[in-house]
Amino acid sequence: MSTPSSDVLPLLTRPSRFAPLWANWWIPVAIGLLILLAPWIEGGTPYAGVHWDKFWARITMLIGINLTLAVSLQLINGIAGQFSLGHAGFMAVGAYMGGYAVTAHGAAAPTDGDAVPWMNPGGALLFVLAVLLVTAVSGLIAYGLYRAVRLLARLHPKGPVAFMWLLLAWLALDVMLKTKGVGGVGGGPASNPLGAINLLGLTIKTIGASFTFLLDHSSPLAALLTNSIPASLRKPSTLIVSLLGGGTAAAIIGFVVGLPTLRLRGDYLAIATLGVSELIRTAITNSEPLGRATGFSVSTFAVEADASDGTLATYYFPWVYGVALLTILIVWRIQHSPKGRALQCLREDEIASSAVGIDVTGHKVMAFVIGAFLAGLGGSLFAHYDGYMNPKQFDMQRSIELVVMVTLGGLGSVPGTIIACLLLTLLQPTLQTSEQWMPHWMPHWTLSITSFANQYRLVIYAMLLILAMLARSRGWLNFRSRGQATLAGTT
Amino acid sequence: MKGGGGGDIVIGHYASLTGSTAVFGISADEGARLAVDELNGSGGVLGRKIKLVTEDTQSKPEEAVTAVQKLINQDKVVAMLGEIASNRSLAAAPICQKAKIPMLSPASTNPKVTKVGNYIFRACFIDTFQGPVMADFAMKSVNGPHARKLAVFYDVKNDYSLGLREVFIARVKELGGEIVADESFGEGDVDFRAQLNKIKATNPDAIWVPGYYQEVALIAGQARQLGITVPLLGGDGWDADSLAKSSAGGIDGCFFSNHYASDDKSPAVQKFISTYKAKYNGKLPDAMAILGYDSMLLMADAIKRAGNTDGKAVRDALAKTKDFAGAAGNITIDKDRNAQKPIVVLRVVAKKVGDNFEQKFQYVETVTP
Amino acid sequence: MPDWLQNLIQTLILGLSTGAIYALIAVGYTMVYGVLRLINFAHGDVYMVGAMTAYFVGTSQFNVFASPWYASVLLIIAVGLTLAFFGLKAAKAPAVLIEVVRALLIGAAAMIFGGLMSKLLTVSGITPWAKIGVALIAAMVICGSLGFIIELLAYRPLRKSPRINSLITAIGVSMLLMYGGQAVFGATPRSFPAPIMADPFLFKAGGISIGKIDALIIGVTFTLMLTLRHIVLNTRTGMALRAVSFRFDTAALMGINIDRIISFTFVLGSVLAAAAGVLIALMYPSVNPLMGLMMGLKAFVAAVLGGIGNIAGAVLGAILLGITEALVVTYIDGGSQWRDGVAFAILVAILLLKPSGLLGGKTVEKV
Repeated sequence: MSTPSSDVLPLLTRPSRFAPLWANWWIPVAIGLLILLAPWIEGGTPYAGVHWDKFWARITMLIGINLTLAVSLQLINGIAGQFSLGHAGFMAVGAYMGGYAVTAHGAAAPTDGDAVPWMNPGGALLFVLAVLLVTAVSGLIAYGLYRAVRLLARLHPKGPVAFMWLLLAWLALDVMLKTKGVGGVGGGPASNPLGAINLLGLTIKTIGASFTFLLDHSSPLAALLTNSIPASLRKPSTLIVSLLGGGTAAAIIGFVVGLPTLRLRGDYLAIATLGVSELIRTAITNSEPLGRATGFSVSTFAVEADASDGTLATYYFPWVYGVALLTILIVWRIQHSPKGRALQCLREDEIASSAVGIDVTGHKVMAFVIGAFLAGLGGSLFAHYDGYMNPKQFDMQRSIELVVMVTLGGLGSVPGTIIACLLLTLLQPTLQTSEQWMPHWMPHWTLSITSFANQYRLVIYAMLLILAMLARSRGWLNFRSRGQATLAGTT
Repeated sequence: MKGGGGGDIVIGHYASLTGSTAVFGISADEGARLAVDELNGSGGVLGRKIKLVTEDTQSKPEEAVTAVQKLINQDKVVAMLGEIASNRSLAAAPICQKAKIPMLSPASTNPKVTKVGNYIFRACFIDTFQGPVMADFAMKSVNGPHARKLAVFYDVKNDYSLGLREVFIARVKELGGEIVADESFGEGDVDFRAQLNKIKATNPDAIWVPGYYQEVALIAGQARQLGITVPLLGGDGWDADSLAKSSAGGIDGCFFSNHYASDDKSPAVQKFISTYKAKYNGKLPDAMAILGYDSMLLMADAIKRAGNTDGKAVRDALAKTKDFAGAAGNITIDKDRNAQKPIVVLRVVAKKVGDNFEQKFQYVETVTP
Repeated sequence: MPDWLQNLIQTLILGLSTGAIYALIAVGYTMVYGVLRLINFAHGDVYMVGAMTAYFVGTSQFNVFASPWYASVLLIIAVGLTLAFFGLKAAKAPAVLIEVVRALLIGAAAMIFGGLMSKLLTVSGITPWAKIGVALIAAMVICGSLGFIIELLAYRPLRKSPRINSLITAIGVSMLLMYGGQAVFGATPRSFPAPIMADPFLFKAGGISIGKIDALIIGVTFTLMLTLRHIVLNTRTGMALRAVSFRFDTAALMGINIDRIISFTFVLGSVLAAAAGVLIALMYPSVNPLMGLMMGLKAFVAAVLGGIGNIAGAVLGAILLGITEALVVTYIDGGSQWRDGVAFAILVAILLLKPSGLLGGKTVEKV
């Protein structure tokens, strides 16, 4: 029922140049200031007397991580208009990839008498490369299969469906034979009747095996790489490898998933991304090295080594806000670049966009992959900050929380998202600590209200979401783009 | 409000008051509050009153970390109680360890929890004790002395269940038994018949179902429907009063290990049950309630023995705990900061009364470490 | 009969029974989608409300005038008025106010009806099955009016907006019902008062058994499917329904009251969800406020698999999904760990290969 919007034209005819970098000077300045304030916020040594406690320091860090996640989702959901409900999945990929790389391969055994293990960026890098190669190759194979099935449609319109029925029949036959104890058709061991699954597993195993030489974190190659980096830079470079590894893994998965699913529109895409993120979670839940449901403890030495009182933030604060800044800048620049305008065109009207020569799929996939990459970065940051993760943390509720931030901030509005993210992340701790900031002259029932509101925070979120759609479908906090042509539906 | 000086002694408790394991968190908190009332009623500790501040973790690890940060930095607690679930304890324990606040978990049974550091303790037995006890029980006592074929049916989304599954399988193999089926379900599932049907085909002598009561009740009901008559065995996650109703009586004759037996005649248990019922409108305390109660008492005892509320002193006192008389049995803290305490095996008896089912936990045996 | 065949048949029966359960909910999804092209995310939660209502009525605890019910009525009125205010602003039509007042009155009447039914059951000497019957009626009334109110206040003002806006609203409504449900009902799972049957089996021979409730659910599912088909194909309302689903504005030009038809669809879908809630609670007698989430998702997968918008397709898809799950669990080693994964894999695969589903006619990828 979306009516083709007449707003497309002004978008297209606007001069196609980058907005000047200084047009949004306040973003880098604001975040730069925050980074400068880092030592003040945490620990308080340089500025004696002013001391933020660790509770608020933690909230500050969570805001930074949420900023990365929400703004990257804004790129997919708001700017490109591809409604994704699976951001937590990409976050999980980034978190587990980054965390595992550092924990299993980024640490070399401590040398004599030294309790802190040496950073081993070389090992982490090799691991990341190996995994990325395996993912990329298996992804390509999967995509090839998918294309092949799609191509069947050229032979006969019913081709793909026929193929699916054949596949089903094959499985059924397998089951029959298995129950008679004959073994699988697929030629696998009799214990596994599904030849198809055997085949897939075998392929991935073979690919994996051919890259195992990369996996050894104590190999000469890893040592060579590590030794070529000065000792003082090993910690940050391990962290960089882990962050980029997490981001890239998420991006590759985003690509493999996005290429086919982005053909779907609107609500179908939302459901497909939801399905993919649940699949990712199921896979992690079943993965022994990733700790299954018990969770995975990340060795956070990469970030904590310098904090004598055991807090991570002094060292980590600039990292978190650096990545948040990077994300905001990237998304902001994309939005105001020719590509970004093409994306917004697509969001308004796909037919019109393709008619004027915009590469529909290419642009969508670009936005999706960049969004996934940034979500992976955010996930990896999260993994190193908390040092513990569990598949339950990346469930649908997490995705929806991010969607709430993006929607309340206004689909297509980056400043709105930043503010919404800030407010929503601050909401809970503020309500939680109401006993401390509530002035004493306030009647006692105000405290009951805040504690009630805290308990049913999610109900409030839900109300805000519905009301936002009913009253201001551009979002509560979307101030900038009110006068501009933006979302369809406000027409 | 602040913890220093002569004011109240502030103790923090982070618990899942909402979310998927809300029932356990609420029980533990009620138990702990009962203990606080009793302590303050008898003059407090070190001449000061105890104030318990509870924060909700929403059954999520990252919220547990936030809650603990809040308790330590905002409420300035001197000691920490919590969490029930091991994954939340694992997430929050490093914070307590670094802040040098002694943390006592009432019911996290995963061995990893206390390995986080020397400020982390627990007031319950660990999975590596609970699992083997039930494995021994399965091999010896169920279906006569020849229970050799055992099936495992665990919750793949639950760390508690995963841990118990592993130690159980290891112990059964060590004793020469055979695991004939190893199936799983997911937290929140309602249909288990496909898995049970597969298990049934392997003819086990007993089925090990380490899960939470909500799923266990449905599993028991569906197992009986499919004609599985062998007993189900489980751990302390079974403890709830809705087992018989939700399983339509199917739970009858199953066994589980628990922290205490409510039909225990010892005066400590009976006193606890009666005061708990009086305070909470006749609600029958479950194991989490008695563990919360014991944890609070143990912490207060440690503070008393330490003579002050300094984190290190309290930690040292906790570590030296020996034969502390808790309501759910004597607690001795071992060198790994785990509680050495007896485990009881209970048998569920479900009786049909009119249109409803009534259940009772019947004491079977006590195993001491 | 050889063992393997017995086992296979039993597996298929179990799959069929699980599938019938998914179908009960999937039908509601598919009806709303067929008419409104809206994925009603909240459908799974309406099912939850049905089961919870039946629990409270069946155990005579549905007392509207006692806390926490009293609080919940206030909550509902507050939510309704806020929504009404903004909905009014969005629709810019004073006529909406009357509709809103009507919705609130209907809601209040439904709650009071539930309270009366609950009171009725305190009379002694009522058999458990009669209790369930009364609870079922109360659940249907309350869910029907809930569906009506949801459509009126949350979806109707957005009918001309892009589908994404409606989808976001649907997610919001789902969250509201889930977490609002936790606030009102409490998070504790409750044992549904399922009547005890002396012999729960309809049929039992060797390794094969069919439960009476299984048979009941399968029977109800197929009856429902046929009835719905009849309504859609052979009645005037059904014809209007098809016209609306075919083309909105043209249907309006033909003199069809679109609002009425859409309300009808929502009420019908929600009443079915309530019935599903009670039936499923008889089978799995444990209810909690978050029970709708997973069941709703699975039912949605089923609806997509069969071709969303197609009632027979939803039933077919649900049964295929149920059987596939049962087969995967039974015949693959470690398959039970992947049970949910299989459902989502099917969802992704079907969306990629044939988004219109197995029985869906035309492609949904309209450009």
